[in-house]
Amino acid sequence: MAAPTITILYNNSQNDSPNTGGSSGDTNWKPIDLINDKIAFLGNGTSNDDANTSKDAFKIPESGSVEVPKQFINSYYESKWKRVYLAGSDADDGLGGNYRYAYGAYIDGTTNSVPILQAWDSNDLDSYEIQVLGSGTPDSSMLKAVATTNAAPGSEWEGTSLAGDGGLNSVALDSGPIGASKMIYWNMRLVIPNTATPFATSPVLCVYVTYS
Amino acid sequence: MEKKSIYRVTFQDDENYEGGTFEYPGWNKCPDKPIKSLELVLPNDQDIIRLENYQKYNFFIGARKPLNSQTVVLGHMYGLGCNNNIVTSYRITVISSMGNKYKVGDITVRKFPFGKEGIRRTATTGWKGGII
Repeated sequence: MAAPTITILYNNSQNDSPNTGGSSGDTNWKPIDLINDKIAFLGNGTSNDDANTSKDAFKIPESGSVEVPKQFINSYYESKWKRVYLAGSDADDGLGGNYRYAYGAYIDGTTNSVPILQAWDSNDLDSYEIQVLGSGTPDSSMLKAVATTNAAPGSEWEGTSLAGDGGLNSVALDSGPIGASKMIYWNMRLVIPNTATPFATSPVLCVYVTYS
Repeated sequence: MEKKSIYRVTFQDDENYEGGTFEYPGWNKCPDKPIKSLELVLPNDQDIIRLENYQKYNFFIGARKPLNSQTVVLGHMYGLGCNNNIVTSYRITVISSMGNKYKVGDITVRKFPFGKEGIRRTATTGWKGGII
């Protein structure tokens, strides 16, 4: 078999429901243009369908750690911020919650092992030195994710700190290999500690698969 | 330029099966008859690793799909042999970047309990029977 075709989608609705449209999405789920679109973590002042010519940046908290309240797709085609309403947790002042269907990947084909979600500094996919990913300490990564393919993440879910391909800092997106084309899902959040310094950065998320 | 096979299977009856490419490895098309050996062709297209005397064999490619790219980035080639529920995994790095500690052609050998040989200690599919 060849490498499976992987389409990344997001839920642009407030309905916690699965994607019924495969790689094309449905009325709730939209495919991400992997060349031009970007996932963005923004402050409360940005809303769905706002023009992407401006944005409300999140402010580093004065104490403790706080989740960035809103997540969007910067839609190149529409030139708008498209909100991923159900993304994030309700922990650390987040505006998300116990939601199962925020982000997903349609795996068209099969895999030999479970797909894994990873995060890296750049497209070289070989380092995690930027501050957002823990400055080389994976457990300190501010980016956290949870697999939701088979269950909701639970109230005030914390998520796994994403950085590199270490077993403890990546997320298995299903319970085993993909035997037939299907959707797999995750939710994620960005938690900023008061010790952070201002940043604007673009870590690279990726899905690791095996095929034969 | 002709694409060379990335692995070769020799069966109990001494017939051979030439594997495909990194893009289309063709392991699922390998005939279902007892395997005597599995040879992995290293990225220099010259050296090989031969796995033999295993009860079961598996082969697959590991690749990453970045969320900011249409392409799949190759990473590793895996050849696995299993005896008495112990899996020996040969992982060969096939593409590397400047900062990666593993360079092209590096071989990482690990042992796992059967069913925990996949990334994150999960099971893999695609096993085929061998002879000892």
